Amino acid sequence: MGHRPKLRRRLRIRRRTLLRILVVVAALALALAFGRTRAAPDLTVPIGEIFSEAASFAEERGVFRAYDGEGRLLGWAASGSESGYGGPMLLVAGIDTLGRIAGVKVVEQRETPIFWRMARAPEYLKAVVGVPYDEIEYDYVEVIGVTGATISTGAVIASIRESVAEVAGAAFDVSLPLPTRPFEFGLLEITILVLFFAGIAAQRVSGPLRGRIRWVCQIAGLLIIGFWKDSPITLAKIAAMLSGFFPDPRTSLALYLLIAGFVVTSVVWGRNVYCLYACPFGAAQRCVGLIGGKSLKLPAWSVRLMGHLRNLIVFAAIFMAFLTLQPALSSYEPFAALFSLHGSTLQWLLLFIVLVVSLVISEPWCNFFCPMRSVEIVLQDIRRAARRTPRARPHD
Amino acid sequence: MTETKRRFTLPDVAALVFVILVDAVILGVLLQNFFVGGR
Repeated sequence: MGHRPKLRRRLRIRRRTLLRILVVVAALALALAFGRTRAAPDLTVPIGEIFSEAASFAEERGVFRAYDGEGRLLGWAASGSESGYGGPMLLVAGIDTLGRIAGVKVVEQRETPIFWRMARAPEYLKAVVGVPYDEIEYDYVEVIGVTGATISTGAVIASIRESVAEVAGAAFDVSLPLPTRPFEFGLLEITILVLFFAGIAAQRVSGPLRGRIRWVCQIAGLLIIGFWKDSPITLAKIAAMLSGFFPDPRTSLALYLLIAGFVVTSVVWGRNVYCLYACPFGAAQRCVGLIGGKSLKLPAWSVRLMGHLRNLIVFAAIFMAFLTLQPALSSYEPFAALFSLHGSTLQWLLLFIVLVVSLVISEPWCNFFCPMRSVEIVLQDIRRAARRTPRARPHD
Repeated sequence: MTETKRRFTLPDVAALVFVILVDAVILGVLLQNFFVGGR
């Protein structure tokens, strides 16, 4: 009997939590269903832009022929699609009857606005116009000198290659080899693995040694995951996966390792090793905090308020990402501003405020605004639910 | 009437300004993403 009020209270909380979860999941599922039902794009529109004199089109096995008003063949076009930062990218390349690139159009892309601007796709696409289809330089750096936004530029290039190869095969009976994409496993991936193992190992030691391990890990994360590769986990990457857009594991192995580490350590160990040991932005704030001494504590009501607002913002961002099927648009973190020096005025302002406040408040982004904190809370709830259920059973 | 409620102190005002400022900027970034899209 002594258990009854406690059990009832626990049940009530559970019922309310369950209701909240149902509402959130239903809303997100509806948004995703809506986003997914949109019709596939009509490729004759971009092809008509490439061949401006085209009056009619004929399609056979994915390759379009464009004809002018008198029925003369103007050229061929085909689409190519490759996973970018926020989901698949769709391009159409047109080749004229002399075998030169007549034009390339981006039909769909889901990149973060900042990364898309960094990728400078329009510039590259303009540079390949007029080039014979078998002489295209598939190298951004060679053509326009871009080095950033590697995933986006890689996707642009792979999509063009695919569409050009398709046209070459159908129109000129030439088989252009598509490059095989090997697994990228380098210093970044090794660092991530080492940081996670060090973070897990650090849970077994106590005192100053654990603190020292954390500092070493965080500095490594700051330099390698942050400044060198700019690849921390972002809401956009989570939203992309939730939308069903899984990036190519051969080129995005680091992302899979980070997310797996985040989820596994949160659910299995109950300690989210990513945020404590690997996240470069957390490390940046801690470094700034060293200068200021971070002595201020915010009133409890404001901490609660910020938690609620953060959850609300994360929900709204994912909702909009699903509705528009543009997951990259949900990204609001100021990471790219710090690590790639790219950002809109508002992102720079956000970075400035967070770093200045880090002087007096301990890791304000992590504690109050980071969307990954909301994800962590969901994972902790799952862990708690999984652990509580068997214990509650004897009282049923 | 005796004063039972806690007064709104300077740290409360500072916290409120901080909350409003950062959340407004975050909302601004999101709205900019969705409506301008950087394109």
